[in-house]
Amino acid sequence: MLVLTRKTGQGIRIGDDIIVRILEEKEGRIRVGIEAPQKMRIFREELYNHIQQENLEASQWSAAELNQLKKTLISRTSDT
Amino acid sequence: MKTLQTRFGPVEYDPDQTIFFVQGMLGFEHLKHFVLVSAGENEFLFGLQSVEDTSVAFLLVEPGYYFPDYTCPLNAQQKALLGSDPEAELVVLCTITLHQDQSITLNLAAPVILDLKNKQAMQIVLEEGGYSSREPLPGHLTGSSS
Repeated sequence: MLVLTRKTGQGIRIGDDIIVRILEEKEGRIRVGIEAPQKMRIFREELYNHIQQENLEASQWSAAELNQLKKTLISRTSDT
Repeated sequence: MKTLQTRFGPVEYDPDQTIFFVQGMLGFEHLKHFVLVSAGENEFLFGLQSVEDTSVAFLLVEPGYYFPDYTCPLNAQQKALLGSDPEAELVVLCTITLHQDQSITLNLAAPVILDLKNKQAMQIVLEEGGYSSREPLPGHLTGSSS
């Protein structure tokens, strides 16, 4: 990992079109501003990891489980 | 037409008519082309099968069926990325997770937005609205008591 020390107000450029700027440091919390192209998705790491893990689990199912799910959804539909 | 061997069974598809993810499923962002598979007699249950990796497929439902008040507003950037024209009919789908303890949850926090007209899709993450990525499927454990 590249490690850089920056002061408040200073920035880091990543490639041609990404700027990360340190905006404020207060009581162990650091506010960071990021400028990046619109198509780049930017997430807090824990949120990204959370959704990534959920997608991974959602992709893991068997044909037997799918058949069971269909029955479950049908019985649920006929209930309402 | 081509055929994929999948957990849904053989899936025939037209390579020119696949769904293209302008922003992929998180963790699967290298997979861009998917086919929407109807899952039998349940018109609100869909399968999303990767063309590039046949081992990757998702099960999805329309969240509005279970949660009529569910909304997932797209911001201007997301609309631009999806490239939808104003009359486009966008479909919102949420992935289903089947857990080992037999429970079933819906990921309301990261829905898949699909434009059926231009066949582009994206997964978005809703940071507001308080939606859970593991919302229990309403009522499924009560069974068919009627």
